[in-house]
Amino acid sequence: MGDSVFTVTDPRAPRQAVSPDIRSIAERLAAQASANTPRLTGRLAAGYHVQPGQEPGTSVVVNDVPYARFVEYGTRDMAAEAPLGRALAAARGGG
Amino acid sequence: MTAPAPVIAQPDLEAHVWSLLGGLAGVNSFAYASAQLWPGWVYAWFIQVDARSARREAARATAEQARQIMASLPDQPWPGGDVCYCQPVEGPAWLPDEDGQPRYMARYEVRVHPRRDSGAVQPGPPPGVPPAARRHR
Repeated sequence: MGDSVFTVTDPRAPRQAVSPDIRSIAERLAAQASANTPRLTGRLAAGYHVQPGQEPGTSVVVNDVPYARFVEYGTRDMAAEAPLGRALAAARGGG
Repeated sequence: MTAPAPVIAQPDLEAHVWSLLGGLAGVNSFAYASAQLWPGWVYAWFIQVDARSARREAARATAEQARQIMASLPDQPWPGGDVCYCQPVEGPAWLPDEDGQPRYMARYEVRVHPRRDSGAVQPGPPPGVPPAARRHR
């Protein structure tokens, strides 16, 4: 049996190949988080967007609205709504 | 021919977690999501654990205590059910309250199913019996 020798010319290529699919997943999560968000002015729900991650094949769902973390994680006086957490839970649970 | 789906009563994981964490001062825990995993025997619960204290170092120490308790969930004896999976989803991370008071927050995914000998699984109704008739049998 002969040996095969492979030369890896671009170790980042596998991650770059899946990058569009990963971004698509992140965009679906952002859309679901937006749908889960309670609306008063709509500013928070409109604030979810996707940024490229630091590594190839990674994406980050971001919300720059200052009170986003209080709505997501709650506070001493306010229950957590967890719009992004619930979106992630549904995705991880196959929902 | 289709077999009727069994009725599976799920254990109260949220109460079980609180029974273990409630003794830690400044700790609060709650489930913010849950999902039934295929084929219906296992449930995934998503639980947030907050650790608060007057000082950041104390809040961090409490969060670490809580993390160790959460990580030990599959090994804790529990007559109500079996914990078959527990992994941190986020944190513990520094997340002070809106007034700046120290808090560490962590989120966990915990999967649980009833004990096989608990009687939680009951056979489903015979085929063709409507739900309303079932309840009065």
